[in-house]
Amino acid sequence: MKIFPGLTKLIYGTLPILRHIETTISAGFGSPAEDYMEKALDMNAKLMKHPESTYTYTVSGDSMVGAFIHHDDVVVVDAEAPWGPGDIVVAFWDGNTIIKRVRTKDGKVYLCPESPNPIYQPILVDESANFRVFGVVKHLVRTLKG
Amino acid sequence: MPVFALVDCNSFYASCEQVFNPKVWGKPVVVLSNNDGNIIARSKEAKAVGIGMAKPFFEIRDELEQNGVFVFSSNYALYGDMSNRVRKVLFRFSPHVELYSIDECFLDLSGFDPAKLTAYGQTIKQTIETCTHIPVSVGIGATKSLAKIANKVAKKSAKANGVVNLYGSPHIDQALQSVPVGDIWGVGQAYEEFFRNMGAATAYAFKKMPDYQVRKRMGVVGARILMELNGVSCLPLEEVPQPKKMIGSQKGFGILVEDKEQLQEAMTAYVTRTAEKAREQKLAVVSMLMWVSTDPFRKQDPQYAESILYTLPEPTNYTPTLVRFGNKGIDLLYKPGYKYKRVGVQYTELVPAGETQQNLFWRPNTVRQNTLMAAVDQINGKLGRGTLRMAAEGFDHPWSTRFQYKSPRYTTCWEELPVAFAF
Repeated sequence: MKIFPGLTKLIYGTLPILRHIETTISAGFGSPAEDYMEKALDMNAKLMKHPESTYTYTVSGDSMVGAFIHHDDVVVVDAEAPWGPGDIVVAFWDGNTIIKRVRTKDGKVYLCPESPNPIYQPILVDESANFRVFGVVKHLVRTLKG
Repeated sequence: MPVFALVDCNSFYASCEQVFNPKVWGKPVVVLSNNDGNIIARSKEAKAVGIGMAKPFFEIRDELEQNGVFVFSSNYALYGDMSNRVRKVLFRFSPHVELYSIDECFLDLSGFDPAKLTAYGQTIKQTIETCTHIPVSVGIGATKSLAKIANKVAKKSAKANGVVNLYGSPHIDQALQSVPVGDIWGVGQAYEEFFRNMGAATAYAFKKMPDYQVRKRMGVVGARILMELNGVSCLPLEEVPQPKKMIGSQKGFGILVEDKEQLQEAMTAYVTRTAEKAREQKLAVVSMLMWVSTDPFRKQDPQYAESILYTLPEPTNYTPTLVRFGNKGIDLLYKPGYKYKRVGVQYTELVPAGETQQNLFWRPNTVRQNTLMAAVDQINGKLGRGTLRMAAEGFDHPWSTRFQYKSPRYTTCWEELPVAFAF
């Protein structure tokens, strides 16, 4: 006892905790929300209708600022969606991956930048170059404050 | 009558490399095995310029360069994700899909209008190619073995446009005649020579063989193949994968290792990884085979290779116990003075955990061990493999596998997304 003079006090000191547990046991109403429980919102469900055909790309460059797509944005691309005039697409062009808006004029297909900067010009899609649409840009993900 | 389709991705690993990289799209591409050892996949463009399979990379490096072939280390994070995508697309076409391997799936198409099966196959092929940009071939037949044959024909025939339907087809025998006996599913190179000597060089000749002759050489497995080629389905779809009989991990080192401690670190890492795999499948290890070897291609170095088989006192999947035996293995296998290239471990016999026979003289506290391992697996599952590990595994891993030409993990890592240029 001499070695542990505070021992008795320590044991008594735990009693209030025991009382506290007694009071919580009697509480017993179920949550009124229980019957209305739903799953929390899932961002994937919003951004990917078909995860198996959805891919994400990082954008580099500023030729699409007119379409509100900036440098370092992440775009969500659907490879299955059919593409046509007016769509923004990610495409292979001449050994590069580019992001542009599809336009048609006089039966010809153009990949168009959307920027006030005149150095960016539309690209005429002809048979000669290696061209393939990877997918249609469906969503834009941008972090405003990290 | 059941209907099976086999969907097989063409040159799968090489195709995956082409999906996100416009510089190699439509170009010859090869993929190397772990540690950049051998060629394990060739794009159709690489096959066209005559690049062979399974060649050691260092031997044909010049040949690859002269032919403008693009070389990649294997990127299993990418291939695994693309394989999952292909499988998910397939579930749109049938509720019954068996993932047979990373690049092949069987589908149960029983009950579909037989007249529309070929068109359905084309739809499957086009949908996968649109969704994943991976080219595939589709073979359809009344049995799995015939679906495999149909798939082989689909890959070879330009006219087929990637889909061959042998279900109720008058062309089955014609298809079988075009397939060498060694290409029959389950026959392979092991029996090819035997059946060739018997005069059965093609799948058609094999099909016509009497049952007893095949059975004598290949047992019941061969008899089943024979029946399957004759249109009687014996192999059902396996939608739930069977527990593995063996689990192993072996890798070559990126560098040559002379130091015993580094060998022990590597062994610990492989044992840990394989123990995880065993726990995933709720299996316990009965015996483990361990081996070390030098690099046989380095003719100038002295050569040494040795292996050892351990039977544990009691089946377990507890990492610390397995690591202790792993280290004991290295103690026995290691000889100073050699430059080691390979170390490996394989759990050669496994039993379902919890159904293990106990040892009278060995009573580990299994409840405690299981709780600890479950906690470790949970933490590593959440925070990434190797977050919690045995200190014996070491930290720097100078021996770890070399992947010099690895492409980014385009679809599984935010830091490695492909880039679309807005220039």
